[in-house]
Amino acid sequence: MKNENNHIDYYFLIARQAPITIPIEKVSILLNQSTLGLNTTSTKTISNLKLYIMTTLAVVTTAAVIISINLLNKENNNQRNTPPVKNENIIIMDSVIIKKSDPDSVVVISKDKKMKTEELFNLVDELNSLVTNSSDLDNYIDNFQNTNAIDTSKISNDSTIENKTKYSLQYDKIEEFGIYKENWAMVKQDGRYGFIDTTAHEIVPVVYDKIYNFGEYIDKWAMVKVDGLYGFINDLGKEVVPLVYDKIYNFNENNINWAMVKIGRLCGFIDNNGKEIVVPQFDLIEEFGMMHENWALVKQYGLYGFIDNRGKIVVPVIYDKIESFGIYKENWAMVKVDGLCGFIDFSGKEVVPPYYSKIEYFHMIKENWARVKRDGQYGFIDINGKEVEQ
Amino acid sequence: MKTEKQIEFMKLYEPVHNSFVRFCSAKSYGVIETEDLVNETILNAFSNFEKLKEKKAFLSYLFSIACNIVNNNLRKKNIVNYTSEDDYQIEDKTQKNIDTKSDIEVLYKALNKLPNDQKEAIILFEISGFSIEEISEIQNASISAVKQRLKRGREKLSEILCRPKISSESIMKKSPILMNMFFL
Repeated sequence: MKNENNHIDYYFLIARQAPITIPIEKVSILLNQSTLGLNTTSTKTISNLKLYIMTTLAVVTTAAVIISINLLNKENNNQRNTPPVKNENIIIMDSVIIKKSDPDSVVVISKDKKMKTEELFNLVDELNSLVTNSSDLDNYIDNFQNTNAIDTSKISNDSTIENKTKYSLQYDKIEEFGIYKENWAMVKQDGRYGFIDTTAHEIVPVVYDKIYNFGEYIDKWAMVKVDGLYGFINDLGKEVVPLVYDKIYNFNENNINWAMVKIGRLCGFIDNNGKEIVVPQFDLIEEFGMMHENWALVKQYGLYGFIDNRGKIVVPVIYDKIESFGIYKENWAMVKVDGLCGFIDFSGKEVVPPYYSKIEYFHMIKENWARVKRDGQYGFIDINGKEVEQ
Repeated sequence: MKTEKQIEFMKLYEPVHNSFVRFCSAKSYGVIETEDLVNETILNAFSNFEKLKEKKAFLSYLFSIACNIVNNNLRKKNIVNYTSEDDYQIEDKTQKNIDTKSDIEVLYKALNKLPNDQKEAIILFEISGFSIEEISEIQNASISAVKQRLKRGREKLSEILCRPKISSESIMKKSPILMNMFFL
């Protein structure tokens, strides 16, 4: 038996000494991703996903090849039967859009007024001097791409981009890429703002009266405003906090990592996931930790109570007044309702219901007792809040 | 930027991380990928962390989530006894180069033969290094019940691991020449 025990102890020993395959840092990353609402797909799911993606890619590639062949045939037929289709080349650069609408000329559109007129004219001259036949601009674009003179993702000579680019040409203003967010440019249309990416795709619809800087209020989010109401978009362009608030204060104020929000005069809180932790219902929310470590005093319809740091109401909002904890007894706070006094304890429990018109300090007349007055009659409560029978 | 919830969670989780991963390695064997079990448990535990009123109960909370995930996967796969007794090969421990990885697998396979409570108690005590008091908390059982589970579990494990069985398959593996000589 002893030998057998030694034997299984050997197995336990090696299992105990096996290296830890998942470092603690990975757990932190996982929680971060979870907090940010990112996909935390498991390895197994990823492998399934990979299989799915590969199958999809294979199908898409095959379909693309078939379509290309068809298009090529169609194009050849068209060339034979109809006049050549006007080739329109467009280059999207940081400050300008260069558009070739005619084989012998180019149009340069400044995205903003930051580019000096002189520079713009020089660029037009330079490009027009290059364009002597229809393939010149194509070569120019190829050259740009080959020499990596500018980010190739911002250049396109593909006619399929035409529709998207037409879209971008309708904006009143296009800011430079990268000012607000990498590879994004703010666009303005009819006094409203949005964002396009480097393929001219509208990442954020042009509906906002104002878009604040990313990270100004909270990491990776930008506050947005429409018709006087505020919300947040994230760095994927998704609305993470709906535009329903008249005011959103800074995060991490009030001793908590939430942001106070207001609808009308009513205050509430949103957390850093955009979730409404405290529905705007209070006339006033005091700072957390002022009266109780994890609580904040709230006021509603002139009455007071407490919420905790999970947003739950821990002391109902029914008291005309709540005094500080520890004045009468450690961890007790006097509460008043309709002129009658009582006590709540640190857990929010009403340890002495508000029955008394007056409660004196403990130990004044007798140790561990406090004199109380009810209906004009005097009596005592003990240190546990129980009425002393006499 | 870490939230208060993350900090609080990590404060409780970090000290038991190694034990927890070891537990998951043993518990998940043959049912689910260890990393998947760890990730799924942590995400589950984290998302419902607010509901955990007593932080003292964190251990029991965390491990019961892991056990539930394994049990659910088992149910899905409809695996009851997926290992055959003949799978076990007792190797000569005097050999210098012992393949510890395969030894661990032998142990995990053997553990799968035990009743669930015994298996969990053994993993928690012998591999994760928890005390009997902690295990009684995790398993929500009395200390004497945990002791019984450990005792019976060890007995059964000894029986499985220390009973030398040489299966026909192993002979095939070990001496194909002999087999060829006799049977071909």
